[in-house]
Amino acid sequence: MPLETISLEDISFHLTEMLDVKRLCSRDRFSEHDEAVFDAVLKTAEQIAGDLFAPHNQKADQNEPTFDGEKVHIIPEVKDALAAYIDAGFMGIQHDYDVGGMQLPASVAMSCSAIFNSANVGTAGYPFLTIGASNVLRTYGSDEQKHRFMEPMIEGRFFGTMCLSEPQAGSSLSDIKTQAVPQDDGTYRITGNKMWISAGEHELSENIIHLVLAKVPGGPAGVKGISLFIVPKFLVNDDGSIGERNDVSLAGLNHKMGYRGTTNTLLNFGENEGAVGYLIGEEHKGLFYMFHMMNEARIGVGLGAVSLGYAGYLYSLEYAKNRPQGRHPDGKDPTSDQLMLIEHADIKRLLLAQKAAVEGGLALCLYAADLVDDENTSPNEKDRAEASLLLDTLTPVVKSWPSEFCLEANKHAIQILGGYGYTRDYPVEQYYRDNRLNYS
Amino acid sequence: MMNNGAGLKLVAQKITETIEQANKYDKLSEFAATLKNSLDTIIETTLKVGKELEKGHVNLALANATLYLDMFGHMVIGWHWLRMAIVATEKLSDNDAKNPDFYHGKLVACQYFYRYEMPRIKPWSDLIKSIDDTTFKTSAEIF
Repeated sequence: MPLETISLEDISFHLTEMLDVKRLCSRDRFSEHDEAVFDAVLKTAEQIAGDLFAPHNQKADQNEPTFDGEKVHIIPEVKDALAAYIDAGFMGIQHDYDVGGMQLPASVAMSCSAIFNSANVGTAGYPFLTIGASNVLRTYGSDEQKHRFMEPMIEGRFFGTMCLSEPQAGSSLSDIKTQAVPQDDGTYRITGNKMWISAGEHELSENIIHLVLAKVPGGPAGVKGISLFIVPKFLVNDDGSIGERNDVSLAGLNHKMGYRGTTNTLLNFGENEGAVGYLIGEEHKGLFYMFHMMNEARIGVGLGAVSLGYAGYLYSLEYAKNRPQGRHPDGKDPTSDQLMLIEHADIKRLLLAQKAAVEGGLALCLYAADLVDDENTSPNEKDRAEASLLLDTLTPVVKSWPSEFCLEANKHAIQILGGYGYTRDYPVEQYYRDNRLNYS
Repeated sequence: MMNNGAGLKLVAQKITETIEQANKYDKLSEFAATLKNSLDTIIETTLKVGKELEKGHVNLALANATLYLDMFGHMVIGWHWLRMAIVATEKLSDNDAKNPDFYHGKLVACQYFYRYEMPRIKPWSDLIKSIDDTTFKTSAEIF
């Protein structure tokens, strides 16, 4: 099915004309790629998103995951969509070739992410978290940890989560209470509760790799005492086979306003003898490791907000072009033909407001993604440092501006559809509900 | 959102480069001027907040940080619209664009953003520069 939720023409405009992404192909990391490869990847994303992600977007929202006390039940379309996504290599889109990745630039990877998010954020949530977790392991994991946990994530056999918040500690991570007690064999036992954990439990993959922030008893107070641990749902044997069930369990599913397709969970760690956890890097550096990923995470969230705004905009645009309604203020003859909605100045205002927000947001997010590529691969140290400083300065805006103003665009899309926009038969109210998450 | 001085300086430099490029085109000079005013206003506002922070009034100075982020964000998005408008103008003047409506669309959206959204920067900056204490001083009891 053709994808109608984002403009491939606009994405191409940014990659080709604004960012000149083919210039990256002269760098070692991307030397095996060319524009034809980038185009092919985008086309594949478009096709999978159109054929397999978009069609169940509404069904997944209206048939939320359920928990019967033992297993989470999710509509089958989600697994099918993710199978195609994984098969096409998207789980490893930015990873090195030698761990099974496609070694593509961030700007191309983020463009694909926008395509999938515009089609179905609930389903796209699972790879978003898995890629985030695999990126942390790529940068800070030991060779053994990369082999045992990261490579299966790139293969798509294991999915990942980020466990930061707790019931009593959301934005204030300083106050987390989850404990990690060191054992003689170098592992830890994790006890605590983590809240708002997206993709925290499901049957979509062989294993779930939780990255958990926890405090080692006796460590410094506040954020300086936080360490980062790998806590797998199932232990992984030395030969890579799935081992025992670890002591982490689903306490309950949260019933959210949007992103209903992605399970959102309260997880209990250590209800019994404590969940086995493996320290990443050094103790007390947990937040530093997590926050290293913040620039890319902020771009991801901002882009998600842009994608949802874009989907609403295009839907409302198509509606406005085809819906007859009313006459101009100076049209006094009630027997004259109705105008199309789009001919009214106020409707054009609502469309322009959306266009300005979503296309402006897309411009900023892809510019930031391109800076990530420069920060990582520019041959000149000065250029790398400049890209890094720009990113540090701009990523708060990259995350926050679209999450506020592309949400506003979703409001305008509902407005254009009038009464129909307020019903669940049309997608614009779901786009609004989905996008409200990104504003928090 | 208080950036270190170096970060803001670098963003200002990039924005200024765009303003200079845009000024080569008559139709874009209106937007270039607006972006320049916004940049100057935001630098001034940032310095004012910085002074308040130096006095040790951290919580007061940061009370309206969210509005600062809105204001700064509008300028950054405006900057990107002008970058796009420059490319669109050049593409249309070449006369060989296969999809002129696409580029016209960029120019109209840029104009919309500059006339309908960029003017919000000034009221935000006036409020923040005044180091307004309405939210900071309000107690929970009056709600």
